[in-house]
Amino acid sequence: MQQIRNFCIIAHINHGKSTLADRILELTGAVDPRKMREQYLDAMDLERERGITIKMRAVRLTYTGAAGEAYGLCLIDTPGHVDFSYEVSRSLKASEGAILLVDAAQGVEAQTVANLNLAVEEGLEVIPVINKIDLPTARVSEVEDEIMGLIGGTREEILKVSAKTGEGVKELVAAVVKRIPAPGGNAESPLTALVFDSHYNRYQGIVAYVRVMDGSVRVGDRIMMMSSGKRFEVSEIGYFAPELTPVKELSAGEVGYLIAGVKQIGDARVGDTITLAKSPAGHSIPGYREAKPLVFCSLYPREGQNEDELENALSRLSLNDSALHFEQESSEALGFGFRCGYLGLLHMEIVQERLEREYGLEIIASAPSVAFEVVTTEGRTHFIDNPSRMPEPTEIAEIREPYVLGSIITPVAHQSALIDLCKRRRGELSSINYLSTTRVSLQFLLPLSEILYEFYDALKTLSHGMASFDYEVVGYRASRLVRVDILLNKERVDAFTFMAHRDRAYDRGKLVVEALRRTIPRHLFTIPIQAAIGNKIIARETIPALKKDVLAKCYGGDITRKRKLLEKQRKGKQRMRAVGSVQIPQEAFLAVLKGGEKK
Amino acid sequence: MRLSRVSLATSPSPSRNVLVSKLSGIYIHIPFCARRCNYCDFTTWAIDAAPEGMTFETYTDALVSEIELASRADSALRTVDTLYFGGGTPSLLPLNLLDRTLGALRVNFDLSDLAEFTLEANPETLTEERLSAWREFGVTRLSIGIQSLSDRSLQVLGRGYTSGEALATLARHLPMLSSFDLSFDLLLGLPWEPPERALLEIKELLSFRPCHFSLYGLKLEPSTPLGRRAARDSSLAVDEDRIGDGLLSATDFLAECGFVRYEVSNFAQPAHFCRHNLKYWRFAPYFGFGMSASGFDGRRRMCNFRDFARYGGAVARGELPWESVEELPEEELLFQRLMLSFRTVWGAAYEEYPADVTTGLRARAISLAARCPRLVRCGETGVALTPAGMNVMHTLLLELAEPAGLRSPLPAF
Repeated sequence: MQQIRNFCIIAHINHGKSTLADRILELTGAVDPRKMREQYLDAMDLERERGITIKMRAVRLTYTGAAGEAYGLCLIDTPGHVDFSYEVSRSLKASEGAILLVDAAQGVEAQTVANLNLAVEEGLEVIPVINKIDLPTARVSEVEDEIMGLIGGTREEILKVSAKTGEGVKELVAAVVKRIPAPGGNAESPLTALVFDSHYNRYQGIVAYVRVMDGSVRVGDRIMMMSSGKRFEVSEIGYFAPELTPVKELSAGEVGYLIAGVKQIGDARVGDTITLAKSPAGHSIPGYREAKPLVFCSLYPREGQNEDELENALSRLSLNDSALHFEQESSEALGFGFRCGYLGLLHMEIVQERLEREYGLEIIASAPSVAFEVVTTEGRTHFIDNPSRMPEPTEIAEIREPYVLGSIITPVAHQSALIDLCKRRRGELSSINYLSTTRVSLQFLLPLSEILYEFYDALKTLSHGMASFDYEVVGYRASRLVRVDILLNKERVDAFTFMAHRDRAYDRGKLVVEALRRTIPRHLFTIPIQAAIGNKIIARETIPALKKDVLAKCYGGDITRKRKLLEKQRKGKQRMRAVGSVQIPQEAFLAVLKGGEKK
Repeated sequence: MRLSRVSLATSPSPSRNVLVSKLSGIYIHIPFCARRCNYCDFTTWAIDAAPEGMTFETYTDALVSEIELASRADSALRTVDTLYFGGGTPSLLPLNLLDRTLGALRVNFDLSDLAEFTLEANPETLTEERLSAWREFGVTRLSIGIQSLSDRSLQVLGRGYTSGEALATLARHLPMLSSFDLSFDLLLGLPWEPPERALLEIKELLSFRPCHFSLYGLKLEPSTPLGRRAARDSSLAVDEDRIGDGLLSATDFLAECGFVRYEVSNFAQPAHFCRHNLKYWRFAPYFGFGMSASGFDGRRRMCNFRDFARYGGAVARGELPWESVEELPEEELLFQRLMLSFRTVWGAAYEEYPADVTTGLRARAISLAARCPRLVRCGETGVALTPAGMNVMHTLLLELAEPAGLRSPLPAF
């Protein structure tokens, strides 16, 4: 009988989680060396290209201890980017311990702290590990100090590894077995299994990723979803090894997958508890906080495409990405589409890219926005996540916007530049803590809308890549905001409407119409572009009418060149959306955002 | 068979009142020049820099072989009424080789109804001897590549003559030249010249009594010396707006002198439209002989090899030297017919399209003409573009053709 250890790796982005996972996979022989590749657990092309983990992965490993005892280790690789921290919290629920991985050169960073706090809240055993000790810039003893400042303990308890060379990885796996407790739970109790993730398989339906807390489950069992009472028959269960590998039984403490012919996405929600129909458990496992979307934007099919396909794809994606929210909406300018809620901009970008790549859809995305609380003059409070739905200024008593507590960890040298950056973004410094003589942690209260675009890039530029950033939403505060409308050819384009702080509305309006003039192609007629607050025009640009697009020369009757040019133009037109008589390319929607964020 | 005289009022109406012969045309490509111009990316070489084995003689040998092969391959199209030697600089082709080529054409094709015979010539190649020989060979039309009368432009373009030399040559040979229909090529909208420059040049050239002008916008090809210079020097960037404006002011100016802008870049007195080029726009068949030449037989578009070894090799093996041949599906044929007819002043005549296509086309044309009366004109029998409309023909065409069932399925570009 194998002993079980369930653990995950948590770290700031780029501190080497996926590489460490690769080494552990090799060490335990989980992957045929011929099939080994970098970032083995990152299955999405998108993850490999960007070198980041978006989805967590679970893998079951077999390990033999020094005394010959057999262990089943379940390793859960997690994303590092702040947008995906909900994935981290889910993998923590399925684990008893966590490897806290810290880069020997970078040291403790914002998400190191954020993810550590999540692990501590869940009561996990934390094994601190310093990675990349082979780097010439490694500063192991300083980083040890930083870690001890965070979690206490001694230098000896901190392991040092190089995931790149494999140094120290063997000792690390031994420490996992020794220091992380075996899962509790009783195999004889009624079944409770937590659904912590899922994906959709065209043939088998929903593949639920489960952590069995108590009891056991076998193929053929009738199971019941505790939230809905719906029943299904288990057709397959197994481990991730790392490919799906069927087994006969999963019992208390084990992590694996379960297939039971569930076709409806709502019938196997992440966070639900599975029990046996014939002897149900008395109570379900406390689920996790549902991830709340913070950033909203609308997605529309491109010209000539169907919104049903988009809806289908969004449903499938949301199964695999429980933080993605969407509902149907209709825009005056763009027709039927979907208002989508995301955890952050990277999340938004990833979802759009997955829709295009995995579902072959071409979409138009409106500029992202946060959700506002609006108190009307009648005293009612509305929650408005789409600026174009904002009531008229005369009906508004107060607008509140979400604020975050942002945490920046940076070398002291860049402190003042970053404080300036935050102040420009309407930030208020709330505390400064020195981690060491050279590194400082800054806390700011910032409007969420101010960190949506190019904040992170600016932070990295100003700190030469040395600062890290994390944030949590702390609540709503009243702000002096106004709705700015954009009119194309005198018609309001609701998808371009944005909110801006009153003091900056003029500048932003000007920058946005300039950006639109640059991105919208010339048409057969002159197109005025205006920005307006209410009925007042605050900025105006004009796109002159097209004067010539024809290819003049005839090369001895060779019309192929002309045909090619025309074909290119036709394809370009297909990638646009018509709003009234104006063709708008996707870049124009981004221009609303970008134009507003330049200084 | 006699060609019906092309007849058209100077104020064109959008109908099919021009009768273009359905007989074939022949284009012959002569890929030799005295020197290569700085903006040129055509298939041509300076004589002393031609690919190995490629001389006027060997090239003519290959041409003659191709002519023989082609006439055997398609006997239905053998009656030819237009002949066009383009290049390159066909006026450099030694007279004995021109004679040989013409001999091959006469043997293999029926030229008894030949109505037009054009030769492209560069001004510095004009000599008494050549002009009289050409006239004897039956050349009816000379298309003279002046390009500019500004010394600065000629130098930037790498044309190898000054405007004084060009004008002196034309003046010297004027009596002889006047026995041909004369056409001048000029480049419009050169970024380093003032915008009104082209009109002055047209005016100056009118004294040589041309009946035709071809006015082209300079196009910067990245592979050419000028294209590379422009990539570094933004003052050389071509401004399409200026070319568009230049075409419109030339249209107005030339109209006063009795010239019609009968195609995007071509202006002529009504009796002197280039019949050969009309075949391209009016969907008539034509042969293309020589390297890189294109042909059309009513259903297929062919293009010859651009490389001498492959071109010469194919004809030597007795094969037509086609690098590509594309059989156009019905929809693409309709689309191309529409695309090409909108280049001309006559536009599209509804009777040339199937009824279902016409219905959609007519409806879109009427709506577009209502929205853009400056660009589109509708008649009972067809739709045509105004001069300003011709300038933005691509955009208009996409509006008119889609979603007409004329959406071309062409996949592979």
